[in-house]
Amino acid sequence: MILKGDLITKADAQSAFFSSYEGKYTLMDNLDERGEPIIHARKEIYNSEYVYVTVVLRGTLHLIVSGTRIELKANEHLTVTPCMSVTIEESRCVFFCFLTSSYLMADIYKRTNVFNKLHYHAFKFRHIRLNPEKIAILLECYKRVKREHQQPDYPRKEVVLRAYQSAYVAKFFSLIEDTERVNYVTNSRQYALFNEFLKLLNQHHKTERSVQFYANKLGISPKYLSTIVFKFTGMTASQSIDQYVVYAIKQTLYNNEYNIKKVSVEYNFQSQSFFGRYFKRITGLSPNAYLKKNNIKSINFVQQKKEN
Amino acid sequence: MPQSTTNQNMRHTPRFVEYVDIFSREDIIPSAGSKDNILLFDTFSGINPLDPLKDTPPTKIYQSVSYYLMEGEITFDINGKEKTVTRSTLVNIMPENIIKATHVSPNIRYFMVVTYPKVSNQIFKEIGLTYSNARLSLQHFITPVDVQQMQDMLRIYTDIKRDLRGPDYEYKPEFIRCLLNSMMVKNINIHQYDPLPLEGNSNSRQYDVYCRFLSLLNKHTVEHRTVRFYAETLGISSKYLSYVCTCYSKKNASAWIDEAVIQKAKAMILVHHYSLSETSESLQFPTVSSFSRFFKRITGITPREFLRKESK
Repeated sequence: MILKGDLITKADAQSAFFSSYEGKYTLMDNLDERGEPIIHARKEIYNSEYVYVTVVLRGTLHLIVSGTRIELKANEHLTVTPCMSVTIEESRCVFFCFLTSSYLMADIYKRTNVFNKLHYHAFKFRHIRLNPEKIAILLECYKRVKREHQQPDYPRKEVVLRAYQSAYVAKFFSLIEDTERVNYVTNSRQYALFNEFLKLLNQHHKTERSVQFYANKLGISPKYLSTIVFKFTGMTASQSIDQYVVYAIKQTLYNNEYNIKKVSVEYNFQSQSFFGRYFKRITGLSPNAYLKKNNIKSINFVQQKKEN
Repeated sequence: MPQSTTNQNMRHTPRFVEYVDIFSREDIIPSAGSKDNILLFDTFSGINPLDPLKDTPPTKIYQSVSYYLMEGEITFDINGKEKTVTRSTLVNIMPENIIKATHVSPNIRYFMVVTYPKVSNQIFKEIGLTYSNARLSLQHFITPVDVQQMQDMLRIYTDIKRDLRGPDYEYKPEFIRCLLNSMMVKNINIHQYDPLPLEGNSNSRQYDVYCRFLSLLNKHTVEHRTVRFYAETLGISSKYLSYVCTCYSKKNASAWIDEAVIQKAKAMILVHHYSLSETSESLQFPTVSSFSRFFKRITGITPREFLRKESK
């Protein structure tokens, strides 16, 4: 049973620090805690919306991300992109973590010039081992965000929060090197097929949304493809395709400045109403409602001015 | 006509220096900085890095300056008016102001951030505001700040300074800009200034055209007052230029040009103490009365009334 919901909630943080700004930026850490830091086990949660970053300073954090067991040791950094499920097992560690809405993350990536095709990284996680100096720099960036969370509300707080979050991202991408990556690649044929499937999905997700198409391309039966995909993502093949497409659509909506008509043409839907129904079936919200809820511009000065 | 203008200039020795980059003079050593982008100055090492500037004439700056005065007292000459600032104050001076520090107390402690237009344009764009030299010209903000706010700003400042001085890394300019963004929002909050929000998309070519038009306007206000000239220089039609301006500022191109001329006239009258005939001549109006009529059409009062009001 996969639960949909937030990866971090207030209930997890009985003794630790927890702060959430309108559900868009959420922080949690147990840096100040004295005594034995214990993380309680959590059920599997499917994350469709947030980029989840967690860093362990001492001890070990045990996680299962979409079927892969991860042991996050001291000075290790884990990024989990949307479309993955996360299970937390009981562990002892000092850590900090934060969740950022993927649409905000897209904006942050855009302004820091890192890259803007976030959906290429769906179904992937990035586990990196860093040296203590680099972790100390990231911790400082995190503390900057935390300090701003702790301040009482002031006008345009969100602009400042986003700026600090962007600073973290800029620092992070400057510090990391590919050699520090912890590899989970196995030589199994199934993993190779799964990777091939992701590549195909990347190429064809704008036009093809049937399992049959991808199975034919790979030369295997749809059922076998589904088994493989389930093993690595915790979802069936058709669910994975839908999640991937919707995730890509969300990014495109943002990059195209909220033009629903353009996006529905770009993704090969017969009409806007087909597109609307498809989007609603998967996210539970119509494209318009989704954009209204997650409007980048509302953070900036424009919307605030109108409200006043 | 051109003959008489030169004569005018010879009679009036210039009282200010226009567009000289005083902050990157050789004898000025910033505490940290990257040339043509951001410069930081502070007195934490025990000396005042801006000391060599004390004998320079008033200068028109084209950078934006955030000046955080912690201790001591400083008197500025801003656009011909004396302003004395005491401890715990934030001073923000926008581009196009003509400034000079006339008196500096010996116990002064301050830190300041100078950003060049390229960076400040981007910062304003990122936090969702319109930024234009012409709109903010001749504006400055002076507000006292409390200890906590000052500490907060100092913390951001030291972060920026450490990274600017430190070794280069891949996304260093972006990182520093992020910190400057938050600094800017906090400055705006301190001044309780109600900025003009950015209308429309800030990543488009249109916004680029708009910014380039405004910077051209600052350069050519005196010689060229037709929309056509600016449109041709930018390689677009007059109609499109006007449309773009309306998109971002609810003001068309010719209104922008008029405002730039008025700003220039006001600066000449107030700062350089030009007479009305001198002003109208150096702005290349055919007669004083046509200048007066133009001035009244835009501002609602005649230049003489304006002068009387300001001198009070």
